[in-house]
Amino acid sequence: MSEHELEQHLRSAMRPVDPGADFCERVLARIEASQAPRRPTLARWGSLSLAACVLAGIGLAHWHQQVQQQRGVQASEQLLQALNIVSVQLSDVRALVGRQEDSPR
Amino acid sequence: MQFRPLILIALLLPLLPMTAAAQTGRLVLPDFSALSKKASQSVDISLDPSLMGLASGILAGNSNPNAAAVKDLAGEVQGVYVRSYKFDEDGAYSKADVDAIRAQLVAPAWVSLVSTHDRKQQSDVDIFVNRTGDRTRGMAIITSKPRELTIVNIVGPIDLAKLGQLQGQLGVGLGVGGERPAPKIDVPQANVPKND
Repeated sequence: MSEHELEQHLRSAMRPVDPGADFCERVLARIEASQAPRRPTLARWGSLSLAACVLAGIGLAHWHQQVQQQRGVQASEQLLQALNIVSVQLSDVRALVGRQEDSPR
Repeated sequence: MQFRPLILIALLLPLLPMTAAAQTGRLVLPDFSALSKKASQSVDISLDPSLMGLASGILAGNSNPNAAAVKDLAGEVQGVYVRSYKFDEDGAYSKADVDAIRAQLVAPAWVSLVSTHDRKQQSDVDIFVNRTGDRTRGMAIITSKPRELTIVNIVGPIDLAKLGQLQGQLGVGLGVGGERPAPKIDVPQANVPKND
């Protein structure tokens, strides 16, 4: 390509072009469109749901652990109480058998 | 004629739980809610295997040596069921209430270990054990006094000698059966009124 042809190409490419009468409106419309709030995508909803599920799961596990702990404490109290009652019954039997052995036949 | 087997099955079906109970050392305790309403003091404890597991877990986390002893004692126990009622007047419960329990404590599964009768105090204490071979599968204690009825059913093996050693360290005096020293295990006691 000669120097002259290159110059012709450049002139042709850089010639002034009329953008049209609605150029300003189109620019403003595009700016407004780019500033409008974007709607959440499916992926975003998915990640939000996942995070909520994880938090709910952690909360549920913690609550379950607390309930189990409480039930365990109550159960151990009741176990001690039951063993107390049994030991008292055994003591009564022992005392009664002792009295019967000591009594004259 | 063809309904006869069905009638037979229908008659035998209610006996199944009792048969199962005899094999496992677990008694079928009747509904004592009517007695509970009449009683001045009552204790109703039902610890099934899952609750026994939870209780063992709590006792295992307790550094007190007495807690370890209780855990050791109840380590193989699969269930503890207690119904105890004290009344303000004599004859508040009927013989039929006790007979419903006694009917289940039959040989060969259940063997009477001790049977005491105090004529002066009109009290009876019977201890039964459920054995299969050399293995103890359960224990039942029935104490009947004019103003007290106590039924204890322990499912699984329990060492009575060890329980006797723990006496006085468990915090007896919770309302049924007598007064004993204060508890020495750091588990808060259940809210049961004290003996008069």
